[in-house]
Amino acid sequence: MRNLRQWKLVLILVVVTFLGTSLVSGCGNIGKKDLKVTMYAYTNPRPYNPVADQLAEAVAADLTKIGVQVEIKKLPWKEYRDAVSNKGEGDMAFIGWIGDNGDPDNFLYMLLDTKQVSKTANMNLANYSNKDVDKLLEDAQVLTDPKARLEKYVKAQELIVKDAPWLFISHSNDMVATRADVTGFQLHPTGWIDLNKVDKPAKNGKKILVYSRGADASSLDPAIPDDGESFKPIIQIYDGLFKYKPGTTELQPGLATSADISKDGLTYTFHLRQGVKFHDGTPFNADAVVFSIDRQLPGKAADNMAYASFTFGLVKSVEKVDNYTVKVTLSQPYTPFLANLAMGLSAPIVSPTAVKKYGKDFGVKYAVGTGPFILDKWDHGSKTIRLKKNPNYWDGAPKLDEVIIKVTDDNTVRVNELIAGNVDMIDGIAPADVARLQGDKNVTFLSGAGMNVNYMVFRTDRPPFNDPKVREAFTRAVNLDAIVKTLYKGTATRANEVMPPGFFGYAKDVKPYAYDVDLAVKLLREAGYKANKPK
Amino acid sequence: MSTYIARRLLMVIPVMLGVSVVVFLVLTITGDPTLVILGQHATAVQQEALRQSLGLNDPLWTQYGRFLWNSLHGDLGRSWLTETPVAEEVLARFPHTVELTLVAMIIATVIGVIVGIISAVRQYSWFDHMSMVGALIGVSTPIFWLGLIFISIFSMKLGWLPVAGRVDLTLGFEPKSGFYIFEAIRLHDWVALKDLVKHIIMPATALAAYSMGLVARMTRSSLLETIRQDYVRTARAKGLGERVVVIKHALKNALIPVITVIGLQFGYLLSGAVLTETIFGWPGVGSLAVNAVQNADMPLVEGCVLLISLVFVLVNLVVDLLYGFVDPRIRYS
Repeated sequence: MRNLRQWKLVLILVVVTFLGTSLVSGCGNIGKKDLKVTMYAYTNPRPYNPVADQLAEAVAADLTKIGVQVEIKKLPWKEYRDAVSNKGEGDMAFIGWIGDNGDPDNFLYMLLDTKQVSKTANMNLANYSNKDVDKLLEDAQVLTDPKARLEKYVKAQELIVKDAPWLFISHSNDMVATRADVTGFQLHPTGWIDLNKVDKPAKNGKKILVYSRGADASSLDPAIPDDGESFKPIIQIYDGLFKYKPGTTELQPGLATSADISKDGLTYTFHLRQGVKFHDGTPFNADAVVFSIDRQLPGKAADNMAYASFTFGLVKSVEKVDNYTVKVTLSQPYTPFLANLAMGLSAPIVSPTAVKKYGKDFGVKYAVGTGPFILDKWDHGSKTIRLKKNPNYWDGAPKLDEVIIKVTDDNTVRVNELIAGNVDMIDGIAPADVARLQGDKNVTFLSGAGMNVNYMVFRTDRPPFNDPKVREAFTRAVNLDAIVKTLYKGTATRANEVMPPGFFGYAKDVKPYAYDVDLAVKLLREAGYKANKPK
Repeated sequence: MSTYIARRLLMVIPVMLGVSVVVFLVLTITGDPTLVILGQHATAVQQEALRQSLGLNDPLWTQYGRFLWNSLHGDLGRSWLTETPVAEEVLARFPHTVELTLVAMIIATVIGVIVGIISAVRQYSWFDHMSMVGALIGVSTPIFWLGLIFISIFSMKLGWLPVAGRVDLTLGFEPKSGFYIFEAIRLHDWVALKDLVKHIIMPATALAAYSMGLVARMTRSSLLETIRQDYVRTARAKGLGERVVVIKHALKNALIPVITVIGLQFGYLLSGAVLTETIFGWPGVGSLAVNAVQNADMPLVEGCVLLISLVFVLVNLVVDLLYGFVDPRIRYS
């Protein structure tokens, strides 16, 4: 009997301890609501997120661990855009952005300024509105001093990261691989492939570089295309007034040696480089600049000029002052205009003589600029673009004699071609092939964060995400370092903010809220929601 | 005979109509292409404008009617991605596919028939066993696997043959038509020809493997059957040499079913080229089609399918007609 009583005692003790601990652990949830959220995800791979909806699953899994009830809604890209951007559905939504000119305005103002919130075709999907951020971003559009602009963008990003309107996920890497004997190639954050300084050993007395990519160009007239495959040959053939410094999107002089900007920010006076000739022998001068810009101005641009309104939409007039000076007047002050002039599409200067002479064939059979390489032949049948060197290039003649840009449709075939030494350079590398390229001693593999950002928005204008605590809690609850590493296998860089590293406007000291599940639980409870520490 | 040809040609029309309906429906049910075309800056207004200009708001039968009418006039629309005319793009790629298919065909026929003859003559010898096992492997191995094995051995390991492509671009060989081998011979460009052969040998062999196995087995069994017939015994009784008996008397009749098989294989090779071309980066209609599917470039997909179906139908017609010439016992009425 005594034994039995002892056992009873033990049993009671156990039950009491169990009840006690569960009460204590759950007491944070007394009087709290369940947190139910809908998460929208697209199912088609995107350049900034090749694994599409796997990303949503991974993020949702981390949120479920702390007791948030997540309903994932998956849609194909076309319907997704409509639901998320036109109809405003979902509490959270995955999205991404591919930059146009590398300027921070193109990321920050475009995606987070209050003015970009719209009922239809919404760009600011977070519906994020912070007056201080708006002021910084709008001031930066008018400031002309790069240092002062940078300061504004850094401050704006500090505020944005603190407000956490997004889950900052990743920047998809640009990847290029070359044969090990190819030298002088440097990756640029905009994906700019500068072949001017590239060299390789001669074979049969000639240096011919074969560059293989996934698709052919659509046009070699810089005013027309909007695709990356056209951009690659165009930047070999043409120059713009400005160009990017190696490794960053800071600007340096190109065909313009300098620019004076009037105090009101409306008038840009460009001083042009003298003694430069187009490939057809005609001189580069103010007339060429006026011609190249004028044909893309609002009202004059043809329908198929994809980037005309983006690049020159704010230009009121362009005039020749003298042979080597051009004056551009804007309809409102807008400093990112300078960054537009360094873009590989729309901005490059064309030979007016050639455009007039060749008419419809310009950009299809002929392309005449001032760049380091001259178009020899574009064979549309075999999708091969042949370039030969411009020995009179103003910035030093290229080291290569010829460049052949060809198309190999399949990603893996392209990698095989490089490893076997049939081609010298490839891009469009799939995550699955990265390890093979890195492991081959005859290959140089280069990778760096590209001009894009992969993120998820919280709809900050309505519950539950109008409460900054909930946004912070969600940011802290998701182990993004691990997710980015597992899902993208080294082909993406973890995002700490909106701007990718290497870009003008990147704030190197800004970091999002760190992964901290305990704090996440605490914050959610403070906001009035049930939350549990993961078991 | 001529009425037969006319009737068969008329039959091509409903077949192609059927193909066009299927292709058109697949194209339409895959949804709204405007976002694919317009990209990330697309606004709802732009999308609607594009839908209008592509006629996507019209009723389905109007769209089909327009598609059919334009196709009959050789206008297959423009690629959504590159905006080049589809007909132009597909026809530019077609010669490459034809050349690959023809070379594969020659390899399959020559090797298949020779192996088949030797196997039949030396029935149950080690050669017979080995080659029939080889033929079985050829028939049952998927092209893509064989292609990858070839590449990993002959290009990646041994470095004898180029991984992919049509010709070494640094040679600067740019003939007018897509029939490169033919052009190289015509231009007496032997350097280019050597390079072209190096490029075509792996894809053509991989593509030919299935047909080669089939032809070898067919030749063997057909020849074995023929050799046992009375007229062959008579020939032998006449005192003719074994070589003459087999090649002159038996083989001629034994090859009739083999030719049927070869003819039918041509269509198979054309469609098999889709896989081969993708693996070997061959710039033909097959890789164009695969790429178009991946890019959701529907007019281009349509163009490729229509062309391949048309060629398939016509080739089958030609094969049917050829029977009559090979085997006088076959009469058309």
